[in-house]
Amino acid sequence: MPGLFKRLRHRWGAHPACKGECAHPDKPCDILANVPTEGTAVITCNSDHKTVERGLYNGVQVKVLRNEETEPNLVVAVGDARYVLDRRIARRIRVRTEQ
Amino acid sequence: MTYRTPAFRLALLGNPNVGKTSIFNILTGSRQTVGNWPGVTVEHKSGHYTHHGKEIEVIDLPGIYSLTAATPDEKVTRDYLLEQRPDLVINVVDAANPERNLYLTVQLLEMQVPVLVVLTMLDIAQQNGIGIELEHLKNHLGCRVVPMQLYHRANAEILKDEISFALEEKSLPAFTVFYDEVVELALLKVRYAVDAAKFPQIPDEEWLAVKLLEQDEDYLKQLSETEKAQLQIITKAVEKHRGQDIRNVIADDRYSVVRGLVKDVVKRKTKWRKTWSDRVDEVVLSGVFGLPIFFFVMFLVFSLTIKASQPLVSIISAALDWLLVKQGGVLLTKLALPLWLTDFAINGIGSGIVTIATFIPPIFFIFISLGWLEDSGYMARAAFVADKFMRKIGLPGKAFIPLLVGFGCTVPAIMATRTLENKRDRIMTSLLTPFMSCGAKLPVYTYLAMIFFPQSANLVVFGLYMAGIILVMLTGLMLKQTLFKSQPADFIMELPAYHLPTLNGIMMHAWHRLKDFVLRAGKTILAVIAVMYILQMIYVRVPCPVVPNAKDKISVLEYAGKKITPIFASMGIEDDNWHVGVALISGLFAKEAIVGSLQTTYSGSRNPHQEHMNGNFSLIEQKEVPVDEIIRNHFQDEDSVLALLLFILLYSPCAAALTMLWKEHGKGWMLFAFGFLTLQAWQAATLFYAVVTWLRHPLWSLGMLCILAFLWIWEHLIMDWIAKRNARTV
Repeated sequence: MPGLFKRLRHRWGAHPACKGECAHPDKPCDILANVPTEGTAVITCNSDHKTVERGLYNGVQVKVLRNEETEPNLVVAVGDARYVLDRRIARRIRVRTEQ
Repeated sequence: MTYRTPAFRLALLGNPNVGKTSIFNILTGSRQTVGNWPGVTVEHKSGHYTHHGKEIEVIDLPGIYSLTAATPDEKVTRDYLLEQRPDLVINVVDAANPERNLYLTVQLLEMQVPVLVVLTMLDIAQQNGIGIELEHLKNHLGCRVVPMQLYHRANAEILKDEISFALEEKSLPAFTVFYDEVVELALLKVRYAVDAAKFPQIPDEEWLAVKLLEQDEDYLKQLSETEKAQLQIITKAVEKHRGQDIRNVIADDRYSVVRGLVKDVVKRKTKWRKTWSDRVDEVVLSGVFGLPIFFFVMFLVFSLTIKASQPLVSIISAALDWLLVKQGGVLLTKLALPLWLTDFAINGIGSGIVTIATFIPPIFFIFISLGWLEDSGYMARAAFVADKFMRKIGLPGKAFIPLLVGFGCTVPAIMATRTLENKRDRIMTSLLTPFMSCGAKLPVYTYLAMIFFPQSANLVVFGLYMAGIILVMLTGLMLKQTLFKSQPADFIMELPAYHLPTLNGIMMHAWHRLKDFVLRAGKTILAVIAVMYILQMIYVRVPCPVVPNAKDKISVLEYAGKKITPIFASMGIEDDNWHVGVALISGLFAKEAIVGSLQTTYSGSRNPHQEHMNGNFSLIEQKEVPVDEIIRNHFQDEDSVLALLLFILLYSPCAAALTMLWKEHGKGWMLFAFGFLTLQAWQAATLFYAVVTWLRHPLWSLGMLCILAFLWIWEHLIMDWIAKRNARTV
C-alpha cells in the first residue's frame, strides 16, 4: 500500500521537476525543457551543482536559442555563455517564463 | 631536454577555450614538454622561458570551471596549487564572458595565492559591446590585470614584464568574499569546531572552513567523528535556512559577489543580443544543414590529410631511400661487412626509418586539421550534431570528441575520455575509439589502396573511415543492449564563440603531437622491423608437402605466419599468403609496422610458389622485382584486399593503446578489448567477403553467414551473462 500511495503522489503531485529536490514544490512552476526556441525564462530552482557553477543559478535569466523536441539537447544562452544542455538536466531546472 | 633550475614557477589557469594554451605557447615557444600528472592521465604541460636573465618555468594546468575537485582535472589543479604553491598563478579570463570566468578568479583569490589576471578575447568582447574598466577591476581584485591580444606578438614582452613585476611584489591579493550572514556565522562555527592543525597543506583557515562547509570529501575524511557530527549540524542549519543544498548555497553567494563585481566594472553598450556566433549556429546546428556541414567538414579533413600528404610522402620516401638504403648500401658494401649484417642494416634498419618517415606527413596534417577544428570552436558544434546519433548508441555527444581524436591516435583518444564524467561512458567510449582509423592506420590503407586501387585510392580510404564510423554505431548498439545497459551521463558543454585560430597555436599543437607520436611509435616500429628481420633469417625444418620424407627449410616468421593464416581463409587469404599473418602480428606492436612488415616479408619471397630452400638473401636480387608487384600476385582478388583492410581497421588496438586501456580502466577491460575487437574484426571482414563473393560461391557464403549468426548470438548471450553475473554494467 505505501508503494501505491507513493506512485499516486508522484503521478498527481507536484511537477516531476519538483519531486523532493526543490525547497518550494508548492509554487507553480515550469521547467526549462518546456521553454520554446527564442523564449526567455528566469531560473527559480536548480539543484544541479554542476550547472549552478556554470552560471545557471537561481535568479539568472536564460534565453533558449534552440529547443527541438526531437533533439536530446537544448542550446541556451546564460549571460555571455552558450551551453548545450542535456534535456534531462533541463527537465530538472524550474523556471518562470517571461513574455 | 634539460633546463637550468627555474628561479620562479608560474601556473596558467582558466576556463576551457579562453586562450590559455596560446599564452603558454607565446611565453614558452618551443621549449615545452608534455606528459602526465603523476598517478593520473590528466595531461601535464610545462615549459620554460628566460626573462631578464631569470629562468621561469610555466605549468599549463587543465581548463576548469571551478576548484571544487568534482572532476579529476579540478582535483589535479587544486592539489597542485595547494601542494606545489607556485610563485604566481596566471588566471586567464575571457573578456567576452566575464561573469562565468570571474567565478573561478574569485575562488582563486579565496585560496590566497598570488594571482595575475590576463584578459583575452578582447576583440570578441568589443564585437559583443562589452567594455571592461581595467583599473577598476584591478582595484577590486587587488591584483595585476593585463589585457592581451593573442595575435600580437609584441604583447608577449608586456606580459613577461608584468609577470616579473608581480613576481617581485610577491603580494597576496587583497580580496575577501563576503557570504550571506548565516553562512558567515556557520563558517565561524566550523573554524571553532575543527582542528586546523590536521591540514598543514592549507595555509588559510577561512578557505578550509569553506571547503569543509561545502562537504569536500578530501577534507571530510580527515575529521574525527565528533567533528563530522558538529559539521553536519552546522550544515543542516544553513541548508534549512536557505532551502538549498550547501554546495549550491556557497556557489550562489560566490556568484553574488561576481555579479556585483561585473555590474561595477563591465560596461555594456547594448542589452543582450545575438552574437555573430549565435547567427552562425542557427545554420551550423540546424536540423537541415547541421549533418551535411558536419560530413562535409569531415570529408575536407580527410581530403586535406590524404591529398596534401601524398606528394610529401613520395618526396620523403624517395630522398631517404636514396640516402639510407642506396648510399648506405654502397658504404656498407665497401666496409666488407658480413652479408647478413649489411642486409639487416639496409633492409631492416634503413627501410624501417624510411617507413617511419613516411608516416609524418599524414599524421601532421590530421593533427593540423583537428587543431583547427578545436581552436575555431567547431569541435563543440560537431559534438552537438553528433549527440543526436551518439545518444542512440548510449553515449553522450561529448564522447564524440575522443572518437574524433581517435582519427589522430587511439592513445590520446583514450586519454580524452577523461572529459566524460561517467565511468560507464569512459569505458564504453574507450572500447569504441579503436574503430576510428588512427593516423597510423592511414599509411597502411594508403599503401594497400595505392597498390590495388590506384585510380580510386581516395574513395577506398574514405570508405574505410566511414566503415569505422558505421561500425562504431553498430557495436555501440550491441554494447548498449548488453554490457552497458544504463543511461549515459547528463550532458553539458560550452559552445565557445567562433574565432580564427592562431597559426602558431595550431603548428605548436601539431608539432608536439607529432614529436610524441614519432618518438614513441618510432622506437616500437624499428624494434618490430628488426625483430621481424631476425625472425626471417632464423630457419626451421618442416616436412615438405611435395616430396615425401623430405624437409623444407623455412623461416620462423613464415612458420608462425603459416600457422595463423588459415584463420583468415574466410576473408579470401590463401595459405601461401602467410605474410598477412606476420604483418597482423607486427601490427599489434604498432599499426604502422604493418607496412614495414609487408614490405620486409614479401620482398623476402619474390615468388609465392618459390620456397627459401637455401636461406640466402641477396640485396641485389630483392630489388629486381618491385615489392608492389609481389604483393599483388599474392592476393587472389581485390575483395580479399578490402576484407583485409576492414580487418586491419577493426582488430585489436596496438600495444600502446592496450597499455593505455589498462592504465585507465584495468587489466580486465584491456583483455576484453583485445579479444572483443579482434573477434568483431574477423566477423565483419568475413561477413563482407561472404556477401561480396556470394555469386562466386553461394553455398560457401551461406555456410559462413550461418557460422557468423551463430557466433553473434553466442557473443550477445555471453556478454549479457557477464553483465548480469559480474555486475559490470557501470
